[in-house]
Amino acid sequence: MELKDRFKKYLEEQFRSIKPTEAAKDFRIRTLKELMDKVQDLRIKGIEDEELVYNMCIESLGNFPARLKDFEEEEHKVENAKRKISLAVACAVAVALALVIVYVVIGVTTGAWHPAWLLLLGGAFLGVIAVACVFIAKFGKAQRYGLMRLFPPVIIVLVSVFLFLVLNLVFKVPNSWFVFLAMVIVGFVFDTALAYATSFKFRHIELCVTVEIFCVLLYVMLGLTVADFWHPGWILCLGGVVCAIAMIIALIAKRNKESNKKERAKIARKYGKEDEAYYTMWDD
Amino acid sequence: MPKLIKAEMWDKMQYLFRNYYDRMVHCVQYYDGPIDVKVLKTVLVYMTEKVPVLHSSFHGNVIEPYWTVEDYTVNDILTVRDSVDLEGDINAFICQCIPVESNVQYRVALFNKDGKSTLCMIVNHMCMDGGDFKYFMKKLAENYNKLLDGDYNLDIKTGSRSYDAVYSKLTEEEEKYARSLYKNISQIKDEHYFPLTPSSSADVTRIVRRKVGKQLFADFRKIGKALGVTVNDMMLAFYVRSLYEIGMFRDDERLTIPCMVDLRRHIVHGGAETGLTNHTGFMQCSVAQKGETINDTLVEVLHSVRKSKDDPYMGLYSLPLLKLAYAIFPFAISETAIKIGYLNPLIGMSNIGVMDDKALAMGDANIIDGFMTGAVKYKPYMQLALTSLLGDITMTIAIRGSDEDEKIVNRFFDMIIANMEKFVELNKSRLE
Repeated sequence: MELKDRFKKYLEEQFRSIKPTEAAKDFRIRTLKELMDKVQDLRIKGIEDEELVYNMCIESLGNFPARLKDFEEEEHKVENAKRKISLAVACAVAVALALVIVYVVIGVTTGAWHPAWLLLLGGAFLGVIAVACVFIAKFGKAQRYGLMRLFPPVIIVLVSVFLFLVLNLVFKVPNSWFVFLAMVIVGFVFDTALAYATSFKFRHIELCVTVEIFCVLLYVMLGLTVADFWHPGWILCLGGVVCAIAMIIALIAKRNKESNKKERAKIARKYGKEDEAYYTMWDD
Repeated sequence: MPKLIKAEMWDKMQYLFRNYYDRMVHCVQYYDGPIDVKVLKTVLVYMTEKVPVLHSSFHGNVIEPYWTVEDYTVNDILTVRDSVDLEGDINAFICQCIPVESNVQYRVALFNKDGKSTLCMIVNHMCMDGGDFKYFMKKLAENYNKLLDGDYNLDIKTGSRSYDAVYSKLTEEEEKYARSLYKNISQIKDEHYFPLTPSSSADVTRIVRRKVGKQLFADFRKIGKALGVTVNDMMLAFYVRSLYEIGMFRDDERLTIPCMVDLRRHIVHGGAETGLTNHTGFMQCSVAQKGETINDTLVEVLHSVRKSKDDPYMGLYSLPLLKLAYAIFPFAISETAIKIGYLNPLIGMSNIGVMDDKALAMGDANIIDGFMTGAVKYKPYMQLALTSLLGDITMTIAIRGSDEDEKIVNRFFDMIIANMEKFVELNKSRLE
């Protein structure tokens, strides 16, 4: 029997242990190709003995029953993921419908069409936030942090807008637009935290910028609410600059210390090598 | 009012490549008898008339470039001369460059010596690639033979030159997927370069060539057949291994070189109904290490090319990205944007394939030797081109370089041939 037929027979037996799906058929065909490629590699490398080639090819598959089991589990996962997506879409539609019904009921019974429309807006924002959270998790898992960090600002902006509308329209809170100043602070603080959590290259610089922005915005907020704060409150902004400069100095000092350490280690290694050459050098 | 022709995507891309090479494709065909000049002139005029882009000048307009159809005479295309120094005349002819503003975009020379003719042709790469150049030369011979036989039903394909013919063989679903392959495959960085001398004023165009030898080619082809590997795979292995040697790269360094692929495999009837144009993509051949023997290098090459060969969309990557760039920006901006995003490979390989000796016969004159090669690369770029004819392979490397560079290229050819010989020696049991 030719090698190809032997492989086919082997695979036919093995694949009976999993469900006969279309994907399993593709996997079976792929595995046969993998085996035939391996045969070609071994022949090029000079192995002629058919039996040895057969055994080495089967061995190259590793623990094949376990691979098949993993494959089947993976298929289940894909199916489950599809089910989860369908469920999420159904839930989203249900929530949207429920919100519309609640809005109509409130409107009809109490006549408060305004500000009940905030319910609809809140629902829409919630949907966008949920999608953003999914992307954060997805990109975070894939360690694509640059893309991941695009989404928290979206969430912060949406939450801030909604909060502002609720405070302003429902509770009539004065100076509720302060929410937007706070939004900038929260955005920067959160992004800086993410930068540190993901070891972003320019995280220290970002921290300096965040500290300064925090101080400036705090100064503006206090200036608007506390009497006579503008002067000498400006010292707060200066404090931010001083803080940033101090952080940069500390950072440079730390970098220098680290590079000195590296340089010393390099020189020590070089001398170590040279010493070794000196002690092992002979005239003969 | 002059007649205008739209510049297709590949015309623009090849125009951009003027920064890396001279945009000419070259062909030389040696015959064992004379070629009838009168008949040849008639055929050339017929083919030029049928393909307007061949007698057009290109205008790199900042918004949208275009071709203008120009008047010409056959003397603008054909040069006929009795030759004393045949190789000198051939080299002088094929090393010239046709400006895009010229009224004709290809030139043919017929050199006669000792009752034998040698036909040379150069053509602007913007008009056609190696695949259609082979077709053109075949049609030239076919139409010549028809005229000799008194048959006036000459023909040449005159279909669309649009790049998207490459999707014509795909199903609707496959086409949709292929049109979303925005991945920029040129971005695979490989900083290995061919060790040419630094640019200098002594650099001139050179097309350095070497024949492998019929016996050696037959031997490794037979071994390849026994091992189930193609000539292209083996040539890649010899090339890669020789690059490790001449470049003195570390044995465990990854080396990635692009290999040109003819995209007509994706076109209905292999592109027999499209117009003369470029349909070339590339597949990356990336070897993780040199390997102990040439056989190990071949295994490394196979590991890489199998991935490409199993991919039904081989060569179709990046085309949608290029199309998008040219569609949304004016030409000047899109060209700059593409130049930023496109990394021209430092080292490449192009297997132009078999030149059909029977199809290239012109009357009683049979082809006895010949080759085709791509554009002349500017330093530090370099590409090996291969053509096979009458059971032999001709390797060509077209560069702008000095005498020293020519020596380096010849040393490189020696290395390739030495690796071929080692391969035959190592696998001689397969020859029996």
